[in-house]
Amino acid sequence: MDHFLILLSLSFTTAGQLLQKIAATKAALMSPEIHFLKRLLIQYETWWAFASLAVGTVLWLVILYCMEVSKAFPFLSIGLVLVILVSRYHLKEIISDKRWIGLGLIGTGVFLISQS
Amino acid sequence: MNQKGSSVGMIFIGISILLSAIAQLLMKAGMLVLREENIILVFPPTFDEVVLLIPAMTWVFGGLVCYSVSVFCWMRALAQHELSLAYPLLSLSYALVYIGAVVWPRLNETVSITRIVGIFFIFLGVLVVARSGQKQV
Repeated sequence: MDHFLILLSLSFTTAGQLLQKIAATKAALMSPEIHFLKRLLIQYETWWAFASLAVGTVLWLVILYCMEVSKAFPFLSIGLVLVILVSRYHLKEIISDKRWIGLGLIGTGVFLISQS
Repeated sequence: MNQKGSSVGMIFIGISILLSAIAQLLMKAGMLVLREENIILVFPPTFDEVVLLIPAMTWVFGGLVCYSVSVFCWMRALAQHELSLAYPLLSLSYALVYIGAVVWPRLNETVSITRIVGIFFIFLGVLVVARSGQKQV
């Protein structure tokens, strides 16, 4: 049950990142004469992103309430993996070898911090 | 997008990472104040209880303000950079939170070798990802 909640929380957070990226890309293509904040707030993806991040955060707080932080924290590196998969397969970003190496190092670092 | 646009995006990523780390530390400080004063949250609170909450909530509110600004900076950065470049860099804020929690006397968390090694790996990885091409979208 705990693991299901963690995956659910991470899925909402990942969806939030994806929606933020889509909204920001759309806003960047609009006329520079309008303030960037305004361009962001008129994208409906921005509001879905906020909703998604809010649900993900509330679920994360529930998880932290139910289980020890040290047990929940390693899953943050799984969130990193999820975002990279979404970038690669949904946004069609090309992930260079160098970037994969960096990702491996960061994932290891997050995991080590969570172990202590 | 030219080189100038790209470096502006990197500055926004940097500000966002820094602000989200500060937000975490401020919220943690607020929660510590609650715990130290042994305030038990009951609903609905009386007026006196609300007054007791003010010092803790000031910290938490400061954290929320930092968090909101960091979300805006984040989206400003995403307008110029790939998600697979920007998101890994966000892990730097975990490292900053740990460093902050150790050096800020108010939080005063303990140091451990494993954590220091972990922070070192994150720094190294962030450096490699940040240099892994500045392809614009």
